[in-house]
Amino acid sequence: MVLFGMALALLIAAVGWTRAWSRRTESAHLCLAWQSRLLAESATACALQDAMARQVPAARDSTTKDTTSKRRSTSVQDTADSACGFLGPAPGTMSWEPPAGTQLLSVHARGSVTESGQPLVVELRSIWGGAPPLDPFSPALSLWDRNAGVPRLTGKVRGEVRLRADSAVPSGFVSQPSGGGISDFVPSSLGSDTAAAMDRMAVAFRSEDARLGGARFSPSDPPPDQDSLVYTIGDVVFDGPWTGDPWVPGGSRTLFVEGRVEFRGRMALDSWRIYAVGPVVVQDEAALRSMDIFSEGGVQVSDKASVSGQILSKGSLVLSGNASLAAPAFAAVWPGKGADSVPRIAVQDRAAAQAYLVALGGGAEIRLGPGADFRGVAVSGGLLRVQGTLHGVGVAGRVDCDQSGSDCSDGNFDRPSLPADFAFPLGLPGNLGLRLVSWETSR
Amino acid sequence: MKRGYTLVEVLMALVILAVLAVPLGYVLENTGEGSARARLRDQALALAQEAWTLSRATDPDSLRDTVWDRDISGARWRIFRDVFDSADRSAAGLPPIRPSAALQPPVEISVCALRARGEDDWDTVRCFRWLRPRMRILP
Repeated sequence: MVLFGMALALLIAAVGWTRAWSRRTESAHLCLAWQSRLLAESATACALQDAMARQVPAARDSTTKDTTSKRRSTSVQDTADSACGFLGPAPGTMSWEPPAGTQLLSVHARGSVTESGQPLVVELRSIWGGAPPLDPFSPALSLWDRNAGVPRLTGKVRGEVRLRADSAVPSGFVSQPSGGGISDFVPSSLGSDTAAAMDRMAVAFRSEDARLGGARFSPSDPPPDQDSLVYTIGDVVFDGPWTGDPWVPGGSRTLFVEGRVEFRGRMALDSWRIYAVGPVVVQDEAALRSMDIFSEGGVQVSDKASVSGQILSKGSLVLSGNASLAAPAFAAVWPGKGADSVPRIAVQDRAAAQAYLVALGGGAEIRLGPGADFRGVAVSGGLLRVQGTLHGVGVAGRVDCDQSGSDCSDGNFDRPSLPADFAFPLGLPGNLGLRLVSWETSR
Repeated sequence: MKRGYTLVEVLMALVILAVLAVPLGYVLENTGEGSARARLRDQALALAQEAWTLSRATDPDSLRDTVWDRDISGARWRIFRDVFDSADRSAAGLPPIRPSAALQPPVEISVCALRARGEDDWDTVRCFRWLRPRMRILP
């Protein structure tokens, strides 16, 4: 009986001790996980500040550091020399990836604390856009060419049409308010985004990380496990399988390529930043989500491929086949050199796009083909050709169809269909505020 | 005939029991204390998360140093929220924040949950620190 009593006492003690130990461990883990999450959230705040600071580069605060480095990582310490670090003591580290552009922010932030000698990492992926302004986005179509005549629209128009032209305004149309132009619809920070991206490329190609020549990646030969991959004088191809499950290279990386970048086969990428001197080609069933793409050679999305995120490119952006530019998305093109000199955005065949599109320059062109489905805002410094349906807002110097010299559009302008949660670019003139489009946490 | 325990056996059992009782008691006491401490930490974490939610819902320019008192299951708690504001910046020798919203650094917030040990004796159970954007975030 004595032995039984002793055994019972030991059992009770062991169970109690085990429970208390696991309780304490769990409590400590919850605490560290929360601090780690707060650090990731703090890194997101820093990434947002970086982006907003880039939008007003001329008036930079003396406490704001240059943010064009390829990766920001801040140890949390008692420091007063960083504009985006903790001033008081806090454990752990935080880091964030600077985006290629600052119109639609895809922020990948990370917080880390140490638990039993191992890092406890929390990652936050968030997408930020601008708030939708009430005006001047109310019309279905705005024309800004001072010399334009009255447009002859043969398609269906739901919503207002605004004209800058001094000519008589036809019945049912309203005149454009004084001042303005397409600049009201073009993010003011596109220039600084471009400059920052080109600087970042130049630094990357001169860095020690740069590899001479291109590369071909596949499931059996995945890209190196590095945050930043740099390839000079050569093309980089991601070759996914043709059948079966899509290849997911994983990780959020930054890729600098001095040539062409191609994604093909069945594959999926999430939150990568691509900087390419040559064209970026996305085809087959490649699915690129929350991307930051900067290209000096144009972007082509074809077949059943899809892209979401931000695209900044010289030359052209062409969506063809059954390709899609999925929400949230922002794309801007500007004049390039040589054969691809005309800034052009084309949504053709059965391609679909839900995006804010900007084509800069007087010779710019946005063309929505007969079978194309477009939802959003299309802003062209030159021509807007709508042969299919534009669900949203069109802003252009002139509308046109194939017969040069005649203003016409046999497509439809359908204003009421602009999605309520549409993500506008952050850099539009006026303080519109930030809007959180999506948020995802992983540990 | 039924045989009982001898005196020596009983004494030996008592000695063994006494020897084991000391560490067992120590373990049991620590177990209770550990569980209570873990419970306290969980409560402090919950209070800090509450303060975080409240701070998140407040306009960044309206965030101020704040102290809340709370009673939870008969225990008194005090939550301190420190916001690194312009006065703190000045004290730290940092330049003032410019009026442009785009250039303002994130707000640093520190929240500590303290539990009353006596009338004016407080035990700091949990502290957290984070940055939040100073820009206006719309729903």
